[in-house]
Amino acid sequence: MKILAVDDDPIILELLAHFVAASGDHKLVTAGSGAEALNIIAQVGLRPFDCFLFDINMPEMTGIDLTRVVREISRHAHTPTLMLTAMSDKRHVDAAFNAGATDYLTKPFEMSDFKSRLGVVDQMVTARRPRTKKIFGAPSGSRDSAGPIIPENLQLHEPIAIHDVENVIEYLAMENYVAQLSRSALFGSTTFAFSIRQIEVFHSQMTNFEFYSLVSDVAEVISDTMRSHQFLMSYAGNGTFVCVTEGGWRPQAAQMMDAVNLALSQTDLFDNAGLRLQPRVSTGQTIRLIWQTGASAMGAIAQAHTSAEAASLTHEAARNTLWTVETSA
Amino acid sequence: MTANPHDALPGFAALRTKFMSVLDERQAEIASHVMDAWNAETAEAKVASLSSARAILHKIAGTAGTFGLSDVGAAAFACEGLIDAHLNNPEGADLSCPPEILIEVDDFVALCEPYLNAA
Repeated sequence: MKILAVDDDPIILELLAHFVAASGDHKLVTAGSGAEALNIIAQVGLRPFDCFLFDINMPEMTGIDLTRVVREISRHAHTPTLMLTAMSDKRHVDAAFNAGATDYLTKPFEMSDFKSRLGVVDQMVTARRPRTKKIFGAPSGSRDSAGPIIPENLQLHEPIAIHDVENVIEYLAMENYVAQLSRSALFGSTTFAFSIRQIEVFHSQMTNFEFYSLVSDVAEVISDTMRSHQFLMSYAGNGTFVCVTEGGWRPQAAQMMDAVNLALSQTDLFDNAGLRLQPRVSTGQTIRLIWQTGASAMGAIAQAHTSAEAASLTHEAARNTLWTVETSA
Repeated sequence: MTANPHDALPGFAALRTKFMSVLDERQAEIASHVMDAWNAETAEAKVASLSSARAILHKIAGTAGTFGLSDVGAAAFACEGLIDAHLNNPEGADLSCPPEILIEVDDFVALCEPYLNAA
């Protein structure tokens, strides 16, 4: 992989050079500040970076700000980004994930931890290479030439990386985020999910681009509907968005479903043939994370995911027998 | 000092030597900034000196453990926390430099000494 490491401490940069060299056949470029990093990234003709390592706590431009700026450069909108955090930066980890970070490494570094996390990123980068291509033309505005990267053969069950939607992070980042939540952070946190009804019908009838657009448009509607709350959300595949709330917000799933469906009904969504799309979502159980840690917290998220899909099937079944059953939304 | 699992990495010994040299300079800078904060006559000068000390402590807290100096890293982290708590306290930051910070930094400098002498 071609890696860019950014830290204002030269000792850390030298340390990273040793760790990266010992972790495999990688090329490391280093920068002492966010501004220097952006200059390096902007150099025309260079092969794009496969991975970023950004220190969170840097003067002038923090690693979180740098991540946000880099995510706006479309050829790096999906580049895995590991945040380098000291213990005192832990409180900033949520903001880092929200800005687009994929994972984080805690200082002082341990070689085994470093190697394993970089290994996960390496596998991700390798897996993406043969099956991805840029399918969009140059968008307007300040972005550069490429758009979102959509797998050529987008599988129904596959998570999709959606960027540019507030509070939406990649599924891998969600897993990493949940794994790092401390017991105290799990207090007041809840997980629940939205599942797009009849997603398999949409998937079978749509092109990759149309399906990606549908998923990202629904993500935007959900995100807008919940904008007054503190949460992170991720598209986990099969039409389902998993959400983790923070700050003590305990959502009423049925109310959220009605609010999102109302917003969807008021949003004009069309496929490439100009036909209006009318997606609707279902929600399942809301599960408090207070008793969970690490892997069991991910288990709770999986449970929320499954229950939303079950609710989606129930809603569809109820719709088909509407003449005998009253339904909401 | 505990055995360091990174010692086997090629070039790590030379980097550790460099870190010890940087630690020597940095602990002296921290002590100097904290003394400046203690003697400063304006709130701005106190805050600036403490912030400078905090920034250096933050770097040591993030690196010392990797070089086998976990206790030095933990002590730097403790000093950083004390300074953060003081700077983030709206009532305290502009009035004084609490003696607890001086004592904690003094302990940190004392902890560094045997490592630096042995290097």
